[in-house]
Amino acid sequence: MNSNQDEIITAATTTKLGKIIKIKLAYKQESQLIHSIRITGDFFVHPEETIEQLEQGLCGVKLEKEDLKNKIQLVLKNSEFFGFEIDSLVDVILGTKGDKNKI
Amino acid sequence: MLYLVQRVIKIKFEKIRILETGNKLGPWNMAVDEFLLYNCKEPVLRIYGWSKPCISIGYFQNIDEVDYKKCNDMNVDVVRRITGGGAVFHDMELTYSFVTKNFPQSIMESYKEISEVIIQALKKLGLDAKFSPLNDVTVDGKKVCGNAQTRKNNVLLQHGTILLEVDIEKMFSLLNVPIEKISDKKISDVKNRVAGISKTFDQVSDALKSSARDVFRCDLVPFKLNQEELESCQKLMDEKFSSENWTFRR
Repeated sequence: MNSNQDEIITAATTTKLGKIIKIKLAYKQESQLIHSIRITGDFFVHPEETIEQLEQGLCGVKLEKEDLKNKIQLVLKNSEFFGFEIDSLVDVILGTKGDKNKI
Repeated sequence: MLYLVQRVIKIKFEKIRILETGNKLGPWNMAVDEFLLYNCKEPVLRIYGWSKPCISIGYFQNIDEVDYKKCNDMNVDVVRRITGGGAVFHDMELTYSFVTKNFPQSIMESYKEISEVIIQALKKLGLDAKFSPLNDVTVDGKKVCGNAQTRKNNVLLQHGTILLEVDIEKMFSLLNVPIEKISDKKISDVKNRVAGISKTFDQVSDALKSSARDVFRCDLVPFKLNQEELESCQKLMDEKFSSENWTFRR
């Protein structure tokens, strides 16, 4: 399969960390690059708009632990968040791929 | 015996303006809170209620958390807050908001300081209230008050609900929890963790105002929104909090 035929897979997962985190993910199967991501839940991020910046920033990032962690750290470096840790958020995003609740 | 011990509060005010806006619709209530946040000159404590039941969802939540059709069928409003946190079923409660330019930069510390007003108010009503991090107040280990904050342009808004009575079954029926997960045990678990304080709105309102004066050692000055301010709130309600663009944005 070449990159033009890199099929987009969508998946979703819900995880209870400190708070509930729900991930809806679309990623390219072959390249493992995030196509789009939506992070929802009852957590807190200050300032709130950072979450949209994070969702945009993650597009194009490879579904690899270090790549995700570096991007999330970069986007969240000037914000405060409660209800999840960066490492656990990375794990949830990666776990989405194998989640049974694929959509 | 209930000890009226108060923690040392760092923030101080000369006066706090008191705004009592009565029972209003959810989108209006959220519009007034946002208006106060973006137009804060002096600290304001607003006390309000809900003219019809409403579910507010947190800024980051998916609208799918709520059974929107059922809410419509049961005449329950749905509104998205500008603050994070979970879905709240507003019915038999007193809601407050507090806006100030003077607050601890630490989010945890600011929750603690402002929540002290709630704690002292509940103690005045004979309840042994405690702060439960990050943002709850409990009595006898049960959550009776949940709070949420946002900060914009160096102004802090904290709003929260003090539960007078709770109807757990109705709340669950309006949320999109899979039917198999709404077990008797789950409902029972929530009942063991959440409680109303069985006081009237006026009792809590009076206690809250008195507590704000004591905790912050300041004068209270009642005020009302003028016509121009009301029109700004109306615009916010119409264009933002009643709009599907805002409610369904996530």
